[in-house]
Amino acid sequence: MMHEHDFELIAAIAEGGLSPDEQAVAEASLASCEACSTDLQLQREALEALRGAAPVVMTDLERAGLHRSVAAQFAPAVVKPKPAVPWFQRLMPAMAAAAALLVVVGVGSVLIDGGGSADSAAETTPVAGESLRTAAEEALPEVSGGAEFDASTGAPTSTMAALAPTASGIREYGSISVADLAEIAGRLDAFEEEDGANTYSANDLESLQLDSVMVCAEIALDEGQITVIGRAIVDGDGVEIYRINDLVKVYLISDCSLMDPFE
Amino acid sequence: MSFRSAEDAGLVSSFLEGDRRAFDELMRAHEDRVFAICLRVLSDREAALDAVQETFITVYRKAQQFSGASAFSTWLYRIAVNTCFDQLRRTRRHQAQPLPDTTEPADERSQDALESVELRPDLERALEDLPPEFRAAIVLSDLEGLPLQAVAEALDVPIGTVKSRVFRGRRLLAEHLRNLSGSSAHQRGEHDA
Repeated sequence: MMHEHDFELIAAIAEGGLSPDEQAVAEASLASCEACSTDLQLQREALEALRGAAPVVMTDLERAGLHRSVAAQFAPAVVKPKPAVPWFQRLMPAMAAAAALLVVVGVGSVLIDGGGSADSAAETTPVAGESLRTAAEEALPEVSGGAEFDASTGAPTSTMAALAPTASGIREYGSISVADLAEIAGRLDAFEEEDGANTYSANDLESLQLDSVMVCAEIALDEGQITVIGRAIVDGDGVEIYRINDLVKVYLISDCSLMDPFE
Repeated sequence: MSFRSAEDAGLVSSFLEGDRRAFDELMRAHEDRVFAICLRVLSDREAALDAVQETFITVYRKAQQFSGASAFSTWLYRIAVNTCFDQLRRTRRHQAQPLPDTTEPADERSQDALESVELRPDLERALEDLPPEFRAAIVLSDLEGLPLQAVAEALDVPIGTVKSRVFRGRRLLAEHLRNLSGSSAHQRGEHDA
Protein backbone atom coordinates (compact mmCIF):
# COMPACT_ATOMS: atom_id res chain seq x y z
CA MET A 1 0.00 0.00 0.00
CA MET A 2 1.43 3.33 -0.98
CA HIS A 3 1.89 5.87 1.75
CA GLU A 4 0.96 9.48 1.13
CA HIS A 5 4.58 10.65 1.36
CA ASP A 6 5.74 8.28 -1.37
CA PHE A 7 4.41 10.48 -4.13
CA GLU A 8 7.57 12.57 -4.24
CA LEU A 9 9.65 9.46 -4.78
CA ILE A 10 7.30 8.18 -7.45
CA ALA A 11 7.35 11.54 -9.22
CA ALA A 12 11.16 11.64 -9.07
CA ILE A 13 11.39 8.17 -10.63
CA ALA A 14 8.89 9.08 -13.35
CA GLU A 15 10.72 12.31 -14.15
CA GLY A 16 13.98 10.43 -14.54
CA GLY A 17 15.82 12.82 -12.31
CA LEU A 18 17.54 10.12 -10.24
CA SER A 19 20.90 8.53 -10.88
CA PRO A 20 20.78 4.95 -12.24
CA ASP A 21 21.66 3.56 -8.81
CA GLU A 22 19.04 5.67 -7.06
CA GLN A 23 16.53 4.73 -9.70
CA ALA A 24 17.14 1.02 -9.20
CA VAL A 25 16.85 1.26 -5.42
CA ALA A 26 13.72 3.38 -5.63
CA GLU A 27 11.99 1.08 -8.10
CA ALA A 28 12.87 -1.93 -5.99
CA SER A 29 11.35 -0.31 -2.94
CA LEU A 30 8.08 0.15 -4.80
CA ALA A 31 8.00 -3.33 -6.28
CA SER A 32 5.90 -4.77 -3.51
CA CYS A 33 3.37 -1.92 -3.66
CA GLU A 34 0.82 -2.44 -6.41
CA ALA A 35 -0.74 1.01 -6.00
CA CYS A 36 2.72 2.57 -6.18
CA SER A 37 3.47 0.78 -9.43
CA THR A 38 0.15 1.89 -10.88
CA ASP A 39 0.87 5.46 -9.86
CA LEU A 40 4.34 5.31 -11.35
CA GLN A 41 2.90 4.10 -14.63
CA LEU A 42 0.29 6.89 -14.63
CA GLN A 43 2.96 9.49 -13.93
CA ARG A 44 5.05 8.20 -16.82
CA GLU A 45 2.10 8.17 -19.19
CA ALA A 46 1.15 11.73 -18.26
CA LEU A 47 4.69 12.99 -18.63
CA GLU A 48 5.08 11.28 -21.98
CA ALA A 49 1.89 12.93 -23.24
CA LEU A 50 2.85 16.34 -21.87
CA ARG A 51 6.36 16.23 -23.26
CA GLY A 52 4.94 15.39 -26.66
CA ALA A 53 2.52 18.30 -26.62
CA ALA A 54 2.70 20.60 -29.60
CA PRO A 55 4.03 24.06 -28.78
CA VAL A 56 1.53 26.86 -28.54
CA VAL A 57 2.05 29.56 -31.13
CA MET A 58 0.28 32.86 -31.60
CA THR A 59 -0.59 33.65 -35.18
CA ASP A 60 0.63 36.93 -36.68
CA LEU A 61 -2.94 38.17 -36.74
CA GLU A 62 -3.46 37.30 -33.08
CA ARG A 63 -0.21 38.99 -32.15
CA ALA A 64 -1.08 42.14 -34.07
CA GLY A 65 -4.50 42.20 -32.46
CA LEU A 66 -2.99 41.78 -29.01
CA HIS A 67 -0.53 44.62 -29.56
CA ARG A 68 -3.29 46.81 -30.91
CA SER A 69 -5.60 46.05 -28.00
CA VAL A 70 -2.98 46.73 -25.35
CA ALA A 71 -1.71 49.85 -27.11
CA ALA A 72 -5.24 51.17 -27.42
CA GLN A 73 -5.52 51.12 -23.65
CA PHE A 74 -2.60 53.47 -23.29
CA ALA A 75 -2.65 55.45 -26.51
CA PRO A 76 -2.39 59.21 -26.02
CA ALA A 77 -5.85 60.65 -25.62
CA VAL A 78 -7.11 62.36 -28.73
CA VAL A 79 -8.72 65.75 -28.38
CA LYS A 80 -12.30 65.45 -27.27
CA PRO A 81 -14.62 66.65 -30.02
CA LYS A 82 -16.87 69.54 -29.33
CA PRO A 83 -20.48 68.46 -28.75
CA ALA A 84 -22.47 68.39 -31.92
CA VAL A 85 -24.81 71.34 -32.35
CA PRO A 86 -27.91 70.86 -34.52
CA TRP A 87 -27.79 72.85 -37.75
CA PHE A 88 -30.82 74.94 -36.87
CA GLN A 89 -29.24 75.98 -33.58
CA ARG A 90 -26.06 76.94 -35.39
CA LEU A 91 -28.05 79.12 -37.78
CA MET A 92 -30.22 80.77 -35.14
CA PRO A 93 -27.81 83.66 -34.40
CA ALA A 94 -27.35 84.21 -38.11
CA MET A 95 -31.06 84.19 -38.72
CA ALA A 96 -31.58 86.66 -35.89
CA ALA A 97 -28.90 88.92 -37.31
CA ALA A 98 -30.43 88.66 -40.76
CA ALA A 99 -33.87 89.46 -39.42
CA ALA A 100 -32.52 92.47 -37.53
CA LEU A 101 -30.71 93.67 -40.66
CA LEU A 102 -33.84 93.30 -42.74
CA VAL A 103 -35.68 95.44 -40.25
CA VAL A 104 -32.95 98.06 -40.30
CA VAL A 105 -32.72 98.06 -44.09
CA GLY A 106 -36.46 98.13 -44.42
CA VAL A 107 -36.85 100.99 -41.99
CA GLY A 108 -33.96 102.81 -43.64
CA SER A 109 -35.54 102.40 -47.05
CA VAL A 110 -38.78 103.78 -45.77
CA LEU A 111 -37.03 106.77 -44.21
CA ILE A 112 -34.90 107.49 -47.30
CA ASP A 113 -37.40 106.73 -50.03
CA GLY A 114 -40.41 107.89 -48.19
CA GLY A 115 -42.15 104.55 -48.43
CA GLY A 116 -40.58 103.00 -51.59
CA SER A 117 -41.83 100.13 -53.71
CA ALA A 118 -41.94 96.40 -53.38
CA ASP A 119 -39.20 96.15 -56.03
CA SER A 120 -36.81 98.35 -54.10
CA ALA A 121 -37.36 96.22 -51.02
CA ALA A 122 -36.58 93.12 -53.08
CA GLU A 123 -33.30 94.70 -54.19
CA THR A 124 -32.14 94.82 -50.60
CA THR A 125 -32.48 91.07 -50.18
CA PRO A 126 -29.01 90.18 -51.53
CA VAL A 127 -27.46 92.44 -48.92
CA ALA A 128 -29.36 90.59 -46.22
CA GLY A 129 -28.29 87.32 -47.81
CA GLU A 130 -24.64 88.31 -47.63
CA SER A 131 -25.04 89.14 -44.01
CA LEU A 132 -26.71 85.79 -43.43
CA ARG A 133 -23.82 83.86 -44.90
CA THR A 134 -21.24 85.75 -42.92
CA ALA A 135 -23.11 85.43 -39.68
CA ALA A 136 -23.78 81.74 -40.33
CA GLU A 137 -20.09 81.13 -40.88
CA GLU A 138 -19.27 82.95 -37.69
CA ALA A 139 -21.85 80.89 -35.86
CA LEU A 140 -20.27 77.58 -36.92
CA PRO A 141 -18.18 75.95 -34.20
CA GLU A 142 -14.54 76.76 -34.52
CA VAL A 143 -12.54 74.02 -36.14
CA SER A 144 -9.43 73.36 -34.15
CA GLY A 145 -6.37 72.20 -35.93
CA GLY A 146 -7.84 72.16 -39.39
CA ALA A 147 -5.29 71.69 -42.15
CA GLU A 148 -4.72 74.93 -44.02
CA PHE A 149 -2.35 75.63 -46.89
CA ASP A 150 -1.08 78.71 -48.64
CA ALA A 151 -2.69 78.62 -52.07
CA SER A 152 0.37 80.07 -53.81
CA THR A 153 3.09 77.99 -52.23
CA GLY A 154 1.23 74.93 -51.05
CA ALA A 155 2.95 75.34 -47.71
CA PRO A 156 1.02 74.85 -44.51
CA THR A 157 -0.20 78.06 -42.96
CA SER A 158 0.33 79.20 -39.43
CA THR A 159 -2.69 77.25 -38.21
CA MET A 160 -1.03 74.00 -39.13
CA ALA A 161 2.35 75.14 -37.95
CA ALA A 162 0.81 75.80 -34.56
CA LEU A 163 -0.05 72.16 -34.19
CA ALA A 164 2.62 70.84 -31.93
CA PRO A 165 3.69 67.26 -32.32
CA THR A 166 3.12 65.02 -29.34
CA ALA A 167 5.99 63.58 -27.35
CA SER A 168 5.88 60.53 -29.59
CA GLY A 169 6.23 62.66 -32.70
CA ILE A 170 2.71 61.92 -33.78
CA ARG A 171 0.64 65.01 -34.49
CA GLU A 172 -2.78 65.38 -32.95
CA TYR A 173 -5.12 67.29 -35.20
CA GLY A 174 -8.01 67.64 -32.83
CA SER A 175 -11.44 67.81 -34.34
CA ILE A 176 -11.40 68.25 -38.07
CA SER A 177 -13.69 67.60 -41.00
CA VAL A 178 -13.51 65.12 -43.79
CA ALA A 179 -12.70 68.07 -46.05
CA ASP A 180 -9.65 68.80 -43.91
CA LEU A 181 -8.52 65.22 -44.34
CA ALA A 182 -9.03 65.51 -48.06
CA GLU A 183 -6.90 68.63 -47.99
CA ILE A 184 -4.18 66.76 -46.18
CA ALA A 185 -4.40 64.06 -48.80
CA GLY A 186 -4.22 66.57 -51.63
CA ARG A 187 -1.26 68.48 -50.22
CA LEU A 188 0.60 65.62 -48.72
CA ASP A 189 4.00 66.43 -50.13
CA ALA A 190 4.00 69.93 -48.71
CA PHE A 191 2.56 68.64 -45.52
CA GLU A 192 5.24 66.04 -45.09
CA GLU A 193 7.94 68.59 -45.72
CA GLU A 194 6.60 70.79 -42.98
CA ASP A 195 5.67 68.03 -40.65
CA GLY A 196 8.80 65.98 -40.97
CA ALA A 197 6.73 62.84 -40.90
CA ASN A 198 8.83 59.75 -41.32
CA THR A 199 8.41 56.80 -43.57
CA TYR A 200 8.65 53.40 -41.96
CA SER A 201 9.34 49.96 -43.28
CA ALA A 202 8.53 46.71 -41.54
CA ASN A 203 12.02 46.54 -40.06
CA ASP A 204 11.80 50.09 -38.80
CA LEU A 205 8.49 49.33 -37.22
CA GLU A 206 10.03 46.54 -35.24
CA SER A 207 12.84 48.71 -33.94
CA LEU A 208 10.76 51.82 -33.36
CA GLN A 209 7.95 49.98 -31.60
CA LEU A 210 5.77 52.22 -33.66
CA ASP A 211 2.76 50.00 -33.34
CA SER A 212 2.52 50.87 -29.69
CA VAL A 213 2.23 54.53 -30.57
CA MET A 214 -0.01 54.33 -33.59
CA VAL A 215 -2.70 51.81 -32.90
CA CYS A 216 -3.36 50.73 -36.48
CA ALA A 217 0.24 50.81 -37.72
CA GLU A 218 0.59 47.08 -38.16
CA ILE A 219 -2.64 46.87 -40.07
CA ALA A 220 -1.55 49.76 -42.26
CA LEU A 221 1.85 48.17 -42.78
CA ASP A 222 0.17 45.14 -44.26
CA GLU A 223 -0.82 47.41 -47.13
CA GLY A 224 2.70 48.58 -47.89
CA GLN A 225 5.29 51.08 -46.77
CA ILE A 226 3.68 53.61 -44.44
CA THR A 227 4.18 57.24 -43.55
CA VAL A 228 2.56 58.25 -40.31
CA ILE A 229 0.57 61.44 -40.78
CA GLY A 230 -1.20 61.81 -37.47
CA ARG A 231 -4.35 61.43 -35.49
CA ALA A 232 -7.60 63.34 -35.57
CA ILE A 233 -11.20 63.16 -34.61
CA VAL A 234 -13.61 63.11 -37.51
CA ASP A 235 -17.30 63.24 -36.79
CA GLY A 236 -16.60 62.12 -33.25
CA ASP A 237 -14.49 59.13 -34.24
CA GLY A 238 -10.79 58.92 -33.47
CA VAL A 239 -8.81 58.19 -36.63
CA GLU A 240 -5.23 57.56 -37.61
CA ILE A 241 -3.97 58.86 -40.92
CA TYR A 242 -1.29 57.14 -42.93
CA ARG A 243 0.16 57.49 -46.34
CA ILE A 244 0.52 54.00 -47.76
CA ASN A 245 2.57 53.90 -50.90
CA ASP A 246 0.94 56.76 -52.85
CA LEU A 247 -2.42 56.75 -51.15
CA VAL A 248 -3.68 58.37 -47.97
CA LYS A 249 -5.69 56.02 -45.83
CA VAL A 250 -7.60 56.84 -42.69
CA TYR A 251 -8.28 54.18 -40.10
CA LEU A 252 -10.84 54.29 -37.31
CA ILE A 253 -8.93 53.70 -34.09
CA SER A 254 -11.80 51.75 -32.57
CA ASP A 255 -11.38 48.79 -34.90
CA CYS A 256 -8.76 49.87 -37.44
CA SER A 257 -11.25 49.65 -40.27
CA LEU A 258 -10.70 51.98 -43.20
CA MET A 259 -12.75 55.13 -43.07
CA ASP A 260 -14.90 55.99 -46.04
CA PRO A 261 -14.08 57.81 -48.35
CA PHE A 262 -10.45 56.85 -47.85
CA GLU A 263 -10.77 53.15 -48.51
CA MET B 1 20.11 36.12 -11.57
CA SER B 2 19.81 34.97 -15.16
CA PHE B 3 20.47 37.24 -18.10
CA ARG B 4 16.76 37.36 -18.87
CA SER B 5 15.88 38.24 -15.28
CA ALA B 6 18.50 40.96 -15.16
CA GLU B 7 17.31 42.37 -18.45
CA ASP B 8 13.69 42.26 -17.28
CA ALA B 9 14.58 44.09 -14.08
CA GLY B 10 16.31 46.79 -16.09
CA LEU B 11 13.34 47.13 -18.42
CA VAL B 12 10.94 47.44 -15.49
CA SER B 13 13.10 50.20 -14.04
CA SER B 14 13.20 52.01 -17.37
CA PHE B 15 9.47 51.69 -17.75
CA LEU B 16 8.87 53.08 -14.27
CA GLU B 17 11.06 56.02 -15.23
CA GLY B 18 8.72 56.72 -18.14
CA ASP B 19 10.21 54.74 -21.00
CA ARG B 20 7.16 53.30 -22.67
CA ARG B 21 9.27 51.29 -25.10
CA ALA B 22 10.67 49.31 -22.19
CA PHE B 23 7.17 48.04 -21.53
CA ASP B 24 6.77 47.04 -25.15
CA GLU B 25 10.03 45.16 -24.97
CA LEU B 26 8.93 43.34 -21.83
CA MET B 27 5.71 42.41 -23.53
CA ARG B 28 7.42 41.11 -26.63
CA ALA B 29 9.82 39.06 -24.55
CA HIS B 30 7.10 37.32 -22.57
CA GLU B 31 3.89 37.40 -24.59
CA ASP B 32 4.36 34.00 -26.20
CA ARG B 33 4.85 32.22 -22.93
CA VAL B 34 2.01 34.09 -21.25
CA PHE B 35 -0.22 33.17 -24.17
CA ALA B 36 0.82 29.53 -23.90
CA ILE B 37 0.00 29.48 -20.19
CA CYS B 38 -3.34 31.19 -20.68
CA LEU B 39 -4.33 28.97 -23.58
CA ARG B 40 -3.47 25.79 -21.66
CA VAL B 41 -5.37 26.99 -18.62
CA LEU B 42 -8.40 28.37 -20.45
CA SER B 43 -8.51 25.95 -23.42
CA ASP B 44 -9.87 28.69 -25.66
CA ARG B 45 -7.80 30.89 -27.94
CA GLU B 46 -10.03 33.93 -27.80
CA ALA B 47 -10.33 33.75 -24.04
CA ALA B 48 -6.58 33.25 -23.81
CA LEU B 49 -5.89 36.36 -25.90
CA ASP B 50 -8.25 38.34 -23.69
CA ALA B 51 -6.41 37.06 -20.64
CA VAL B 52 -3.02 37.95 -22.12
CA GLN B 53 -4.26 41.44 -22.89
CA GLU B 54 -5.64 41.85 -19.38
CA THR B 55 -2.42 40.51 -17.92
CA PHE B 56 -0.24 43.06 -19.66
CA ILE B 57 -2.65 45.89 -18.89
CA THR B 58 -2.37 44.88 -15.23
CA VAL B 59 1.41 44.85 -15.51
CA TYR B 60 1.34 48.28 -17.09
CA ARG B 61 -0.79 49.70 -14.33
CA LYS B 62 0.81 47.94 -11.41
CA ALA B 63 4.44 47.74 -12.42
CA GLN B 64 5.41 49.87 -9.44
CA GLN B 65 4.17 47.01 -7.22
CA PHE B 66 6.83 44.66 -8.59
CA SER B 67 9.23 44.42 -5.70
CA GLY B 68 11.97 42.50 -7.43
CA ALA B 69 11.98 39.85 -4.71
CA SER B 70 11.24 37.24 -7.36
CA ALA B 71 11.92 37.21 -11.07
CA PHE B 72 9.74 39.51 -13.16
CA SER B 73 8.62 36.49 -15.14
CA THR B 74 7.36 34.77 -11.99
CA TRP B 75 5.44 37.89 -11.01
CA LEU B 76 4.06 38.09 -14.54
CA TYR B 77 2.95 34.45 -14.57
CA ARG B 78 1.24 34.95 -11.25
CA ILE B 79 -0.78 37.79 -12.72
CA ALA B 80 -1.54 35.69 -15.79
CA VAL B 81 -2.72 32.69 -13.80
CA ASN B 82 -4.86 34.84 -11.52
CA THR B 83 -6.32 36.56 -14.55
CA CYS B 84 -7.18 33.17 -16.04
CA PHE B 85 -8.77 32.02 -12.80
CA ASP B 86 -10.80 35.24 -12.64
CA GLN B 87 -11.91 34.70 -16.20
CA LEU B 88 -12.92 31.13 -15.48
CA ARG B 89 -14.99 32.31 -12.56
CA ARG B 90 -16.54 35.13 -14.53
CA THR B 91 -17.51 33.14 -17.56
CA ARG B 92 -18.53 30.10 -15.53
CA ARG B 93 -17.44 27.97 -18.41
CA HIS B 94 -16.10 25.68 -15.77
CA GLN B 95 -17.93 24.99 -12.58
CA ALA B 96 -15.87 25.54 -9.46
CA GLN B 97 -14.26 22.27 -8.58
CA PRO B 98 -12.95 21.85 -5.05
CA LEU B 99 -9.58 20.17 -4.75
CA PRO B 100 -9.87 16.46 -4.07
CA ASP B 101 -9.24 15.59 -0.42
CA THR B 102 -7.66 12.25 -1.16
CA THR B 103 -5.24 10.84 -3.67
CA GLU B 104 -7.66 8.13 -4.69
CA PRO B 105 -8.23 7.64 -8.42
CA ALA B 106 -11.14 9.43 -10.10
CA ASP B 107 -14.45 8.01 -9.02
CA GLU B 108 -17.35 6.84 -11.15
CA ARG B 109 -18.87 10.31 -11.25
CA SER B 110 -15.89 11.65 -13.16
CA GLN B 111 -16.22 8.75 -15.55
CA ASP B 112 -19.88 9.65 -16.05
CA ALA B 113 -18.89 13.25 -16.69
CA LEU B 114 -16.46 12.12 -19.36
CA GLU B 115 -19.10 10.02 -21.04
CA SER B 116 -21.64 12.81 -20.95
CA VAL B 117 -19.74 15.03 -23.35
CA GLU B 118 -18.26 14.52 -26.76
CA LEU B 119 -14.98 12.73 -26.24
CA ARG B 120 -11.82 13.78 -27.98
CA PRO B 121 -8.87 11.53 -27.20
CA ASP B 122 -6.20 14.16 -26.98
CA LEU B 123 -4.18 16.00 -24.44
CA GLU B 124 -6.03 19.28 -24.78
CA ARG B 125 -9.27 17.67 -23.75
CA ALA B 126 -7.70 15.76 -20.89
CA LEU B 127 -6.12 18.96 -19.61
CA GLU B 128 -9.41 20.78 -19.87
CA ASP B 129 -11.01 18.17 -17.66
CA LEU B 130 -8.61 18.80 -14.81
CA PRO B 131 -9.54 21.08 -11.92
CA PRO B 132 -8.06 24.52 -12.70
CA GLU B 133 -5.60 24.42 -9.79
CA PHE B 134 -4.16 21.10 -10.96
CA ARG B 135 -4.14 22.25 -14.57
CA ALA B 136 -2.24 25.45 -13.73
CA ALA B 137 0.36 23.52 -11.74
CA ILE B 138 0.93 21.06 -14.59
CA VAL B 139 1.00 23.78 -17.23
CA LEU B 140 3.63 25.78 -15.38
CA SER B 141 5.69 22.80 -14.26
CA ASP B 142 5.47 20.21 -17.00
CA LEU B 143 4.56 22.19 -20.09
CA GLU B 144 6.42 25.44 -19.41
CA GLY B 145 9.23 23.81 -17.49
CA LEU B 146 9.34 26.23 -14.59
CA PRO B 147 11.19 25.14 -11.44
CA LEU B 148 8.88 24.06 -8.64
CA GLN B 149 9.88 27.08 -6.56
CA ALA B 150 8.84 29.43 -9.36
CA VAL B 151 5.57 27.55 -9.77
CA ALA B 152 4.95 27.90 -6.03
CA GLU B 153 5.55 31.65 -6.23
CA ALA B 154 3.39 32.00 -9.32
CA LEU B 155 0.52 30.10 -7.72
CA ASP B 156 1.15 31.63 -4.30
CA VAL B 157 1.15 28.26 -2.55
CA PRO B 158 3.82 26.31 -0.63
CA ILE B 159 6.14 24.19 -2.74
CA GLY B 160 4.74 21.03 -1.12
CA THR B 161 1.32 21.95 -2.42
CA VAL B 162 2.75 22.34 -5.89
CA LYS B 163 4.33 18.89 -5.74
CA SER B 164 1.04 17.41 -4.61
CA ARG B 165 -0.97 19.20 -7.29
CA VAL B 166 1.43 18.21 -10.02
CA PHE B 167 1.44 14.59 -8.90
CA ARG B 168 -2.32 14.35 -8.56
CA GLY B 169 -2.87 16.33 -11.72
CA ARG B 170 -0.67 13.99 -13.74
CA ARG B 171 -2.51 11.00 -12.35
CA LEU B 172 -5.90 12.44 -13.28
CA LEU B 173 -4.57 13.44 -16.67
CA ALA B 174 -3.28 9.95 -17.43
CA GLU B 175 -6.55 8.43 -16.29
CA HIS B 176 -8.50 10.85 -18.49
CA LEU B 177 -6.28 10.03 -21.43
CA ARG B 178 -6.82 6.33 -20.84
CA ASN B 179 -10.56 6.88 -20.63
CA LEU B 180 -10.59 9.00 -23.73
CA SER B 181 -8.46 6.51 -25.60
CA GLY B 182 -10.61 3.61 -24.42
CA SER B 183 -13.81 5.36 -25.43
CA SER B 184 -12.33 6.14 -28.81
CA ALA B 185 -11.35 2.54 -29.35
CA HIS B 186 -14.79 1.44 -28.22
CA GLN B 187 -16.45 3.85 -30.62
CA ARG B 188 -14.18 2.71 -33.44
CA GLY B 189 -15.13 -0.91 -32.66
CA GLU B 190 -18.82 -0.10 -32.84
CA HIS B 191 -18.29 1.76 -36.09
CA ASP B 192 -16.33 -1.12 -37.61
CA ALA B 193 -18.99 -3.60 -36.51
